[in-house]
Amino acid sequence: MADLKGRMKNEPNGHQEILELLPWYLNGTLGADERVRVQSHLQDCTTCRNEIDEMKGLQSAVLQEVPDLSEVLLQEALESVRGRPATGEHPMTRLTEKPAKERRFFLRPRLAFSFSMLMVIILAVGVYLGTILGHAPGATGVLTNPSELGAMIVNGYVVVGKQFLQQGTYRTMLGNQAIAKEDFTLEKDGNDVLRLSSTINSVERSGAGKTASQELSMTSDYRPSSYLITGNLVYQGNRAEAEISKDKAMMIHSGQDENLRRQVDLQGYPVLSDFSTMSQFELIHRVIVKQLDQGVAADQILLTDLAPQALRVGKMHLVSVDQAFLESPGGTISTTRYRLKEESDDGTLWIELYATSKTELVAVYMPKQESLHTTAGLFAYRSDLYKDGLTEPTSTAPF
Amino acid sequence: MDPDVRLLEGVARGSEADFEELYRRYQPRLDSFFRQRIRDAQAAQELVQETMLIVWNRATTFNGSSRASTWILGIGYRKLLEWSRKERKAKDLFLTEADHESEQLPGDPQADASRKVGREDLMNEVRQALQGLTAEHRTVIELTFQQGLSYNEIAEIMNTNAGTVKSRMFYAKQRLKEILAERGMKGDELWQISKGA
Repeated sequence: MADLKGRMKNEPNGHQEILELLPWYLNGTLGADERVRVQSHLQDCTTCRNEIDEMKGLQSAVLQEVPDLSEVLLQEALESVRGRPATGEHPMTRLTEKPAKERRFFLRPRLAFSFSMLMVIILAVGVYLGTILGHAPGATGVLTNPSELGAMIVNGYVVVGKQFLQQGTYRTMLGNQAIAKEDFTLEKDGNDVLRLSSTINSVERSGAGKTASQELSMTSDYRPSSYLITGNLVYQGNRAEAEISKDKAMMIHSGQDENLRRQVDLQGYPVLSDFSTMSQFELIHRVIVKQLDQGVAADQILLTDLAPQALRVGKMHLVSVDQAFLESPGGTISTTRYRLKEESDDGTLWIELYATSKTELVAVYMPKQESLHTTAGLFAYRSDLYKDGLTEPTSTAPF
Repeated sequence: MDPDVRLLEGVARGSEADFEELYRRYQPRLDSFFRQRIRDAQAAQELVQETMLIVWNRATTFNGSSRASTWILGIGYRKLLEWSRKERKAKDLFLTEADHESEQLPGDPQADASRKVGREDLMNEVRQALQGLTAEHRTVIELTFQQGLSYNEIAEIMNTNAGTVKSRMFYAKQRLKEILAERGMKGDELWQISKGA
């Protein structure tokens, strides 16, 4: 792409632009203005005249004989739809519309991750860091708040742990049914690498092997650099990962007998989402807030949404930002609502994020909509903050 | 009004006659599109049926913001992606160009540059070389020349933007000529075909 842009910049009279229009000049689909410009250019440009000759050759090779209509298949199709309404999700006999377009709710993992266990791990990591960094005995501190840098004295050494930015639990509801629970931690290490880790348990399908764990590393501006999710809840496999550079992302999905990958060009700020991995919306929320704070207009925020589990890539736009209220048994909660539209090969998905501050996302809502193929909307909320629950919003999609 | 739109409106109301007419118009087009991509006639037929069934089921959701053909081919394209994933052939579908470097189609040993070949032979060479392109590049070529769609319509179907469609076409043709050269051809076959070889 870079060399193409380079040529376009260097060549006069819009030659490269015209060159790129030739295939559609040939198939007769250009608008009147473009068609006239191409015709005019062709009179003076030998290169483009040669190019159009070659395009004609390509067209001839591609334009193979169109197969005849199959009357047998037509009759099968008619038989399948006969007497059935054209609007319903009617059952089919011979023909079956496969549900593979449904969003994949792979639900994820969760180790029963108590805070005390977390402290043990912090301690272990801290001892290690303290040792290798050679901190001298001295000052002290205690990790009391996720937003503070933890430090403590262990065996006479000051131990510096990681900086916790956020941690909590999401409970995901489908209608009245709890389907997943996810514990997540967003932390920053000494090298300014951000790490979002989480464990997910499928409540709906509880039992052994119904978990997954996720590790997402990011640069300090919340741009993802690597992603790995493993576990039996990973859709059609047990491992999905992504390597993300400035311009490209390689998504890899590994299963027992398949190893699929897809490389895509990024045309916007990359973010990750899988619709049972609610903590990823923590990242999306922060990216949006950061861009708004930097003065980017809401309608100019474009995110490239990667879903390595499904090898799917989509575009995510911010549709609106407004004030909205959520209801809990404890009272009404005022939030900032971010409405998002995600478009991918699988269709359009409408998503709402509810935040009580720039760093505190409290709920994610996907209203019932065609692309979800669910019987109800999907609602995830911070169950560690709202132990008595939150009431699902009443929004409908499209907003 | 686009006659296909009129037919879709009829299908949305449950008209079997309109569905039959729409099927007659699109079954050959879809079949041709699928067969060029997956080389499996049986699977192509199934994809046509599944696509047309979705058309029947979802005709009410067609809102006229695009041409009927774009809407229907878009459904077909998504079915193709889905099929490829499900049949574990996504590896082929999503191979990057770099991946293809090590998976070149074996060249026809008789297809050296000195061989005298006719126009039909040349077209067969080009068709075989097309199989060496990435799925995204092939799709742009086929939607342009086989299905006669505009770059904006192709962008809509492939869920990308017009600039990307144009650059994919540009690189597809460039790569096609490289593949032809790797297969022992001269590289001017497209020009020769256009001149009647």
